[in-house]
Amino acid sequence: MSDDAPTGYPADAPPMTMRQARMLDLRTYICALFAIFGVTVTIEGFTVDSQELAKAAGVNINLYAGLAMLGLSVVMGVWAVVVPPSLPDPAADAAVSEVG
Amino acid sequence: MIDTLIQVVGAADARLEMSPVDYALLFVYFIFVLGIGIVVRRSVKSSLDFFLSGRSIPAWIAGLAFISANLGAVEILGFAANGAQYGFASVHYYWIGAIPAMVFLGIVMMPFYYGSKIRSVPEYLRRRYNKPTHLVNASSFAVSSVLIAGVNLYSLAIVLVALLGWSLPLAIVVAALLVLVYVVAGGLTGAIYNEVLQFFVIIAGLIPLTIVAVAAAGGPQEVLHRLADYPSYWLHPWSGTAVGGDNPIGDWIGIILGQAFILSFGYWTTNFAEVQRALSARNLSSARRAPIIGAYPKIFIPFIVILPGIVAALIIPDLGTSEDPQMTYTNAIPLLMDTLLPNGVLGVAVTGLVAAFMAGMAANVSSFNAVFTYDIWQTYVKKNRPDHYYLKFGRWITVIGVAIGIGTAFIAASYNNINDYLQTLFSFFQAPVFVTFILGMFWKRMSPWAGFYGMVSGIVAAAGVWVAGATHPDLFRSPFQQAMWMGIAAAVVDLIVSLIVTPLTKPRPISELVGLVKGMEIRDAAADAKPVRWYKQPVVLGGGAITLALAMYIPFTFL
Repeated sequence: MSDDAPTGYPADAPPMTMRQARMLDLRTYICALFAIFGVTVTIEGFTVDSQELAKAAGVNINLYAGLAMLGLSVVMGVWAVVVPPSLPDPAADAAVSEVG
Repeated sequence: MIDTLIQVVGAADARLEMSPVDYALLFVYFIFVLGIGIVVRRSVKSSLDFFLSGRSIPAWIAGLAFISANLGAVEILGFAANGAQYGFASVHYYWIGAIPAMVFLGIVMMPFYYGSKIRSVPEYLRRRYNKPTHLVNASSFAVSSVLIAGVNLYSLAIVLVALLGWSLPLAIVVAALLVLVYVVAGGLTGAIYNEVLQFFVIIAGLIPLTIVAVAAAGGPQEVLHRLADYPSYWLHPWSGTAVGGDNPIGDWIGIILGQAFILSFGYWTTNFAEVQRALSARNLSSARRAPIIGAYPKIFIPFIVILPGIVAALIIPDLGTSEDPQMTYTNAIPLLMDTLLPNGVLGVAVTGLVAAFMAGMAANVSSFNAVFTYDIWQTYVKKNRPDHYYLKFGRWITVIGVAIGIGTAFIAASYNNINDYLQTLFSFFQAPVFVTFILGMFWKRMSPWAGFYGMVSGIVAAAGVWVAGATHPDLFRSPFQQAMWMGIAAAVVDLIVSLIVTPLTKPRPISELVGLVKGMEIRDAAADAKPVRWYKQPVVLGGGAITLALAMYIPFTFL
């Protein structure tokens, strides 16, 4: 990125800390939301009754969907830890390998 | 499309049996939406942060936001309706329409958009052509965005009314306030983060729905078996596409030329609500990859949108043929949800639909405020103010935009047909734009006034075809086919007028075209020096996406 490229952080602003960068990391939010959704829906799957099962054509869809959402949550969480967000520093930006 | 939806969901009591658990999931989602808006507020320090996320977004987030901004509930319910009515025939919209267009944007056009550091799509027209061309495009975009935001808001409200039993004014105001808070606080980053979250929630709702629907129809083999009784284009999207054939989507000329190369390319490569997501990426390489990364999941969207619609036609006997106002094609997905989903997944699916409408509205609002602030206010009204003035102005115009949206939503509640008229009117402006952009990028000599007259005459041509279709209803097989021919007429007229006007008028001095035309791209030396791994190269990624999209047709040939 060239030096005159506009970034989110004007030169006079204090540099962003890693803690702040993690607060702005979308993967954290996807991980948290799907942890909540996944646990809730999986519990519904474990407590399924025959009427609910019949409604969904015999598929215990809450169980499978809940576990799949927990899987997504884990993937996002692990990804966020293993590949931390890069700090928005134009000089470093060119050097840090980017997520994606 | 929206109009039918309104009549259906609005007229019928399709109240879902939501349990407290389902409501809790929806509530948790609302908390996340607001929380994200407030957290990302601290990253907004300049107008560029507010309108373009400070060009700091990673490619995968920009890419998912790119398709999510378009994957509104209108598209989801609309393509499910197409599935229930025509089978897989409308899959061309994805595989030879959207995918090649998104790849083309990434490979061919992004270097001009991102390299020239334009802040909006209309701004490209101002720098490449002249202010009249710019003003036509910027003002039609601003007006259409804010009005369509209102229509989206109304559609969202009637879903809340019909499915959850809220009152209409309450639903309109609550939905508008949620969007307002996260767009005013977080700007484009707030909108983009929530779009990506919405993407995953809608997928988490639609995949289980599709699985259960296919199981309820007796499994995949049984679905194929029963489709044998339907017209062949239900399973073979190219069947009946000869000129004069029976495919309701149109003939192959209309599909390939009109749908794919003009309407899809025009929408995906010049609609600022889309391009803005790619412009938010942190560098040129990410900006080029963003639409291409989005293309991969987009290839598979038909299987969770069109397929459930098809299955709905199989397992809901009266769908589309009954007098019951609830049994229309547009209601296919809500009806399946009601019939098949147990509490838990039902809450996820409802949250996904609500999220999709909110994201659609937020995409309109966040692109409207950027174009209004940069392209209208800063360009024509208050020039040369300090940056924080435009940041503050952008936040206020967001409030005003949402207020106009609320007004439009209430008007739409009284005059249902207004939505269809708005969509038609704006399609005139969308159709010719692609030709003007592509000529501008690849033909240095093309003059500013050729840009203006080409675009305006294209708008007139599109309107002319619409009038012809309105006065001679038997001219076109379906509204799809009419839209295709409007696009073709607009493009051809735009091209001819541009070719005639250019030699008669003065070109722009070469020195003003740096970064805007072929052969004068601005190269980023630092980025060029850094080797890009082969799988990250736009041509490799893009070629893969197009190959995969075309390969998707193969199983449909043998089924």
